[in-house]
Amino acid sequence: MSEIFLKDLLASLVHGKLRTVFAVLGIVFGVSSLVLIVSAIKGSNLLANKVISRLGPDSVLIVSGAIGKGPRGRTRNLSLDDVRDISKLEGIYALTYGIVKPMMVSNTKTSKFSAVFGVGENWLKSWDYKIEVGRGFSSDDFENMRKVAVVGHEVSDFFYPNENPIGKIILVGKVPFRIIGVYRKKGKTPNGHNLDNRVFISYNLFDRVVDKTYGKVSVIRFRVVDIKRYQQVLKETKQILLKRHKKDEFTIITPVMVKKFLSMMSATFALFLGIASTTALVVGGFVLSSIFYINVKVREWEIGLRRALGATKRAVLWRILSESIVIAVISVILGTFIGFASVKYVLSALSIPVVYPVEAFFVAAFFSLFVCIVAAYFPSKKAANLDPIASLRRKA
Amino acid sequence: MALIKLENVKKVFKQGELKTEVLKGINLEIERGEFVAIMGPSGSGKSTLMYILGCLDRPTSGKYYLDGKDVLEMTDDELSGLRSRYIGFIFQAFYLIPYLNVLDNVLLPTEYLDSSVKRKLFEKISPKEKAVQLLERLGMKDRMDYKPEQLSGGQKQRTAIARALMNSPEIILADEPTGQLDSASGRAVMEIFKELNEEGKTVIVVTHDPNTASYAKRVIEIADGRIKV
Repeated sequence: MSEIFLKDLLASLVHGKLRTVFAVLGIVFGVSSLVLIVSAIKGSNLLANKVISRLGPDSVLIVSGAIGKGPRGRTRNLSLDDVRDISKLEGIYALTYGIVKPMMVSNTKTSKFSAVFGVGENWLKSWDYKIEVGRGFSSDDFENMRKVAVVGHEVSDFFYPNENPIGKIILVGKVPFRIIGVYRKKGKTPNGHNLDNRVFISYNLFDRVVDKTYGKVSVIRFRVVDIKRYQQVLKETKQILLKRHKKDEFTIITPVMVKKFLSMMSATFALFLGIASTTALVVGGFVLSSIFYINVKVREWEIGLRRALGATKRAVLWRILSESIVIAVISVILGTFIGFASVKYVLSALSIPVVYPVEAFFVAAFFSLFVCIVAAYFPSKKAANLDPIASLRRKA
Repeated sequence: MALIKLENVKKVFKQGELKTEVLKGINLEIERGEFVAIMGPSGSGKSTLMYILGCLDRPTSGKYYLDGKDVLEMTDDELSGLRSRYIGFIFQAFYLIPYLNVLDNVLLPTEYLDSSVKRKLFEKISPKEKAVQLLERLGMKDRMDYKPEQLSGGQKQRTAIARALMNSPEIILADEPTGQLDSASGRAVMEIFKELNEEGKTVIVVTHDPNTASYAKRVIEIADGRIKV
C-alpha cells in the first residue's frame, strides 16, 4: 500500500464527510449493542458462578413455601423436627437452619428496621460471613442462651458510628443484646436486599424474645460430603420432608437449579439483544450499501479517470472496498467505546456484574468488518465493471 | 516500425436491435515523435478513435498494434498496464480529483503502475521529486498545495499535463485540451505540447478547433467514421 493510496483513500472519506458519518453511524449502533450483549452474557455468567460458589456446589438449600407463591421468607412451614431428621442423614455436614423477621432495632436513642435472623450454630460459617471485628458465636453462647448478636456494618455504623461497637447494646424488640461481632461487608443481593442490614441472634433466643414460633424455621441448609452421592441425598431429603409437609410447602434449591435459572436469564439477554444488534447491523449494512451505491454513482467520472490512468478493475474494487474497511475500523473503535461506556449503566441497572470483556471487541470487530465488506462488495463490483468511457463522459 | 498502427479498424455500437457503425475502417500509422491532430466535427467518430488509441476501448474488428503489440489480444488487466505505461491522457474537463491537492493529483498515476515497472521508472528519482520537477517546469510549483477548485482553468490543465507526464508515457493523448480554456491559456497549453513534442514525445490531439490543430505537424481529418484523404 503506497503513501498516495492512503492519502487518496482518507482524503476521499474526509471530503465526503456527511456520507462517511452516516455510514459510520449505521455500523456504530450495531457494534455498540454487540459489545453490550457480549458483556451482558459474560456478566450474567459471572453472576451465576458467583451465586453458585456462594451457595456451594455441594449444598442443598431448603426454603419454606413454593417458588412463585408469595414471599418465602414469611412462611414458616419447616420445623426443628425436619432439621433433626435431616441431621440423621448420612454423608452431610454443615447443617444449619434459621428464621427471619424484619424488626425495629434500637439503641434507646434511635431505631431502624433490620432483618433479624434467629440462626443455628453453624449459620455464619455456612453462609460465609467473615467476622471483621470481634468474634462469632461460640457453642457456649448457644448453650447458655447468652443475649449476644453479630451484626452487619449498616447496623453497627448506624447506632455506633465512629466508635467500637463491640460490647455495645442494641435492643431487639424490647430485649437488650450485646454486640460481639461485626461481619465484613457483603453488599447487595441481585434482587436488591441489603446483606449488611442484618442482626443475627441464636435461634432459641429468637423463639423466645422475638417471635413465638414453636419450633418453626424458614430455611434449612446443609452440604454433601461426597458430590457423587448428591442426588441420593437429595432424594432422601425430599422423602423426609414429604413425611410432614405437602409438596408446595417447601422448595429445595440446588446449585444446578440456580445455574439453570441464571443461564435462562442470560439466554434471554442473548436473544433479545442479539436480535437488536443483528437488526442494527443489518440495517447499518443496508445504509452503508446504499450510501456506497450513491457514492459510486456520483463519482463515476472519477472511476473512469482512474481506469484511464491505468487502474485495473481489481484496483477500483479494492479502492472502494478499502473505504468501507476504514469505515468499519472507525465504527469498531467508536462502537466499542460507546458499548463499553453503556455497559457500566445498563448492566448495573440490571444487577449484573459490570465486566468489560475483550471478546466483545473481537466479536464486534469481526461482525462489523464482515457486514461492511459484504455491504460494500456489490457497489464496488459495480464500480469496477463500469465502462470507463461512459463514466468519463458523465462529467463532460 | 510505427508506434501506432491501425488496420481497417471498425467500431459498431449496439443499442438493442439498433447498430451504429461509428468507425468504418480506419487505417492509420503514427510514428514515434509525431505531433498529430485528429480533427472532425462532433459525431464524426474522433472521440471513439481516441479511446481506441488510448486502449480504453477495443475495435469491433480490425487490428491495432501499439509499439508492435497486438492490443486486441490483450486482457483487460494488460490493457490497464498499457495505459499506465504508454499513455498520458489529457481531458477537456481536466478531471482532477477534487479532494487531492495539486501534488497528489500528479502523483496519482503512480498508484496504478505495476510494481516492477514502478521500481524501474523511479530508480533514479523518487515519484515525489519527479512530480515536483514536472510542476516546476509547468509553472505550478508554488501551487502544489492548492486544491483544484482554487485553480484557474489554465492551471488545472497544466496540473493535468503534469499528471499525464508522471509515468513518462510514450504518447500524450489529449481530448479537446483547450475546450474549456480562454484563448491565451489555450495557446499556452498548446505551446507546452509543442515543447514536449520537440523533446521527442508523441503527441496526439483530438479537436474540432482549427487553431488548436494548427500546432500539429500532421492533421488527420475524420468525417463520418472515415479518414478524409
